[in-house]
Amino acid sequence: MNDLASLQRSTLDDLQVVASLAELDELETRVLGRKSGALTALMRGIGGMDAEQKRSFGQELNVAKQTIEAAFAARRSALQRAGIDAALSSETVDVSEPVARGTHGVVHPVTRATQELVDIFARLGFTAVRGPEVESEAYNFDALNVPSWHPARDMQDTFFLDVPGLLMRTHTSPVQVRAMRTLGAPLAVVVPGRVYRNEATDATHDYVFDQIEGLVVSEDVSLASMDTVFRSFLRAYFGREIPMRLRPGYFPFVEPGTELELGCQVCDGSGCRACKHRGWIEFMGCGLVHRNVLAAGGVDPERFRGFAFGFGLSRLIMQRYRIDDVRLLRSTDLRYLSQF
Amino acid sequence: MLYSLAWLRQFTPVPDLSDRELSDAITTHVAEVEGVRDLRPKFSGVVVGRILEVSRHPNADKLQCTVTTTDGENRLRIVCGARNIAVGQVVPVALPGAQVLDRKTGAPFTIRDSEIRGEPSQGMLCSADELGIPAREDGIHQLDPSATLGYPLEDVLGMGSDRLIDIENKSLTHRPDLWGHWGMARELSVLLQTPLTLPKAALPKAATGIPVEVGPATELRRYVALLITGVEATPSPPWLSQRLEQLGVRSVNAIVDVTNLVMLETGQPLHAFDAEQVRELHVRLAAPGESFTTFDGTTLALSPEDVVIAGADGALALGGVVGGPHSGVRASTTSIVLEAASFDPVRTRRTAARHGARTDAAVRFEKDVDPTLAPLAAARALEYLTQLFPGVQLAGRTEVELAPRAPQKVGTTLGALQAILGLPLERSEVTRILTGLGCTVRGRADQLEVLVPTHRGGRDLTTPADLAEEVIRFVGYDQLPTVTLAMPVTVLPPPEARRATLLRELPQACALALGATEVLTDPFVSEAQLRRFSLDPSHHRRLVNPQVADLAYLRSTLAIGLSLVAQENVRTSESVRVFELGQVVQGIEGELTADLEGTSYLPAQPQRLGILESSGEGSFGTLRALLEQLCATLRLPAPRFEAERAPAAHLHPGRSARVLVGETLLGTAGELHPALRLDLDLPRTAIAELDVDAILACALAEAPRIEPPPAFPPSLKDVSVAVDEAVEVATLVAAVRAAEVPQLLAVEATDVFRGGSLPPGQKSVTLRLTLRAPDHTLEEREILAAVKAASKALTKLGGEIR
Repeated sequence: MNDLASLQRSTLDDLQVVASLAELDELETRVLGRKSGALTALMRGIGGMDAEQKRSFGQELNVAKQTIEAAFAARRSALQRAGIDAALSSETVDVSEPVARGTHGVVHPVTRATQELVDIFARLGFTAVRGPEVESEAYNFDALNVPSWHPARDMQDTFFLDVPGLLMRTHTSPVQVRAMRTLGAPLAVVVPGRVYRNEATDATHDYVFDQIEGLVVSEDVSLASMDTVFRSFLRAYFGREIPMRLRPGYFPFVEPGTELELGCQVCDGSGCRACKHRGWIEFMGCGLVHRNVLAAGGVDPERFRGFAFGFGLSRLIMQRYRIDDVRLLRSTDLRYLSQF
Repeated sequence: MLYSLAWLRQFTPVPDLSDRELSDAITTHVAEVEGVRDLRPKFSGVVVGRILEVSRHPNADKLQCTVTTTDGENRLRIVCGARNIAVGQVVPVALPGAQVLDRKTGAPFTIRDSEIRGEPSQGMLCSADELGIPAREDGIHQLDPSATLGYPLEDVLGMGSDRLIDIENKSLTHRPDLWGHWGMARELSVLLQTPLTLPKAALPKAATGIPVEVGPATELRRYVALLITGVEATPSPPWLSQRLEQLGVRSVNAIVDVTNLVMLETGQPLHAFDAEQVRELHVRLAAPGESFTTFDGTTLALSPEDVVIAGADGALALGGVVGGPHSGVRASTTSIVLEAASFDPVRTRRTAARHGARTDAAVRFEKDVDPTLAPLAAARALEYLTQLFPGVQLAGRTEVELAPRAPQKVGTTLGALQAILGLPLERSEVTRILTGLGCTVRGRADQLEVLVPTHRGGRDLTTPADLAEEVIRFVGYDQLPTVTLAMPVTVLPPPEARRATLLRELPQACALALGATEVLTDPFVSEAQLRRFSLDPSHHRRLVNPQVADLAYLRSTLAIGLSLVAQENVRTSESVRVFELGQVVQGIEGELTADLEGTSYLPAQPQRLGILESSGEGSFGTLRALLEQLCATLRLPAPRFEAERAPAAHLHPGRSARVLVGETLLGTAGELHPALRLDLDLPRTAIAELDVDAILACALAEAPRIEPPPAFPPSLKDVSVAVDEAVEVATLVAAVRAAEVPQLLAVEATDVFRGGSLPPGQKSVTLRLTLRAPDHTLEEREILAAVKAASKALTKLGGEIR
């Protein structure tokens, strides 16, 4: 009895003066160690007692053991915490020291713009499809209601290949016909991609650039529903209401053919050099799909109507990053590209 | 096309609108206006003067002193900086108090009596820039020597209060009627709801004219030939020459000017032959080998597809395109044969394109000029000639009409137009618009039977959608209501859908996981570049009309463009690690049909991913690590690399590999050939080119099977083996895999060591075995057994376990 009480008292006293985790471990071995711990020895002594003694002493022993173990745990926790606190100041680093860096790359602004636009159109219900850059006259022109004799062929300067009938596509519109032929009607697709125009390059023209084309075919497309989709798109892209208007525009593959204009962002529509004092800037060609184009796509023009649109990405990108020369969009100088 | 507002007002009373209002109204309802040009003078107080004396300025080398008179008596001393002045010239003189424009800024300023470098200057001699008028030459603007001294310049130049409306020709591709003022006046009358009064010209009766014979296959629609006497090739009166010049047509003489005036008014091109030279006319196809010299002396080798207008002795004009030198109006002309013909649009277009002669006439005929316009325009020309020459006589008239055009009928319903536009329409409004445009509208209730006028050509108004466009143009697009469309759901076939996902993920994977920057290189390459990469130009598709002469070939590999990027950046950037996603074009047929019938093929145009690494290391190993990282990022199975000892010529034959996933070949990876590197002056550089469709084929069609976390820990055991250099690491790994080592979960090479105690030609490879049993923790003897089995397999390859 006395042994147990004094062991408990002395242990608790000793714990008060233990100053390190090593001393604590040593004390713990002395008291609770499995082989030679003082408390362990007392517990072994229980074997020689009679039943009555065993029961009452056993109880006392358990209480004392729990008390001692709890005291050890509390002391251990306190010492650890003190150790951490003591180490904090010595572990302080200079946060401005040089560090090892990984390399990071840049996704090209044209790709980013394409992704952003495709993602917005996806939210509006469009699915992205792609098509070949080397095209045939049949898809690039004939299927789009521009037969070989049509004056509209002059509207786009074309790169022709050394194989008769092949060319670099002048627009993403041939994919309208390809999509209708493979996916059927109804459908809603957007077509991002590179297009080619045989024009001299200058600050606003390049012979290769990227476009986005859209096509919706369903039984209840109308010019008004086209207008409504465009308003949703513009709100999503610019993040706010922005003045827009449709006006007549001639493209052989749409009828009615329209051009969508945006209120000039530079002058808020009052007229400036950027908008040639018109207050409006052309954004894209659009309109209801010509019945001959639906027919070329294998879609019944008596049952379905469609609307289509297409615009180049260069101007949007140039506006966003305030770039004044379109040719810089094809710069491969990494010092330039790393800024995007 | 330029339109004179004053002229348009002769046909419909256009109200007084500002430039912006005018431009906006036409842009939003007809076609885009490029600009409105104000012809009203920007100067005031400028009169006609004559230079009497010119002398050197005593104090300035670049100035001269003049004495100039504006009334024949006064002697104004005026200093002038222009070099083109001489005694006797008649020039514009700004007197003190006059307003002119600053030559540089265009801002108005007032002339004062002044002194320039010590010499008095009582006014200013003006250049075109200072007057805001088109310049004919540099320096002081030269006036007609017969101009009356002292007259206000605006009167001498015939400047009035007109404004010009400029519309780009390509917006008028579909509108033959808008190539004349009548057509635009008609549009404005519908738009502004003003009355339209077009001249009701009719050909008077006349004797039979010269014989006109029309040959087969010319596709001529109509030919009107008027024999007109009593004309003279005198200069045009100012009202006529000025109108033409303002509208961009050079004034020639009164007769030619009238033909051009009528063309600008009606849209119908006319041609005048000298009647002395033309006794008969034959409209026929050119004979084989026939040539024709145009009025300006260019000789054209004609095609048997070209239509010519011939006299007795050969071609006089290329039909609908250009006239010849001998048959046209000359100084001695007193009688003419006036041609008002209607040529086939397609044939005219082809002829004009073939001979590079896009004349005002050809540009109009290719738009499908209304054949019923020919006699009207001829009559109108006769009226103008009569106005100019009181003695004009219509001595003969010949008319051949081969393909009369009647108004076409388009049947539709009000409901159909409403459905197309998504807009409720009033029948009365639809009728007003269509009638105003020249249509006849019939039908009851919902029915619309529309007779389309011939002046819109044969193709422009043929369907209900065409009519809907006419209606909405004048109702206004701003009237369209908000109509929410139920968007159709488009489902791509699974491979296409996965392709789209992969293409969406690839750029970010390359940029973020690999740290590479995306570049867009030129899709066109030069012959020299191909040869530098040991590629045969004849195996490449080529442009027949490249923009940059050198860049005529379509790339078949991304390696050329990427290497040029390395070359461009290697001196200025610390590291060059770039990628490109792009189509290449192969000299073989692909799968996509080129025509709508599906009988011919486009060249194969695979989408490629190119990666170039030239950041100091540029070794094959660095590149391989990047590709493994890429596959992991894309959640593809780990790629395999098989040595390629005969790679493409631009790669190092000892440091190149095929990249595979499973049995699918993704592409190649290797270091640039040292010879090419030397040529391009590049450090060690590695480049990979993978096929996007192959990557796609390896992407899992289904989500991978996911196992629960293992219940028992694995044991890792390293085995090092010394082997001959010739033995590839992959061979060692494969041998262990094949050896059926018990409990082997994975084996991977973790280190290669050379040197130390190893003899030359030997390397030590450390393989890490991952061992695990599904149902218990491995015991020591099991681990030893596994190591022993692996070691045995390695020893068989001649290795020595270390």
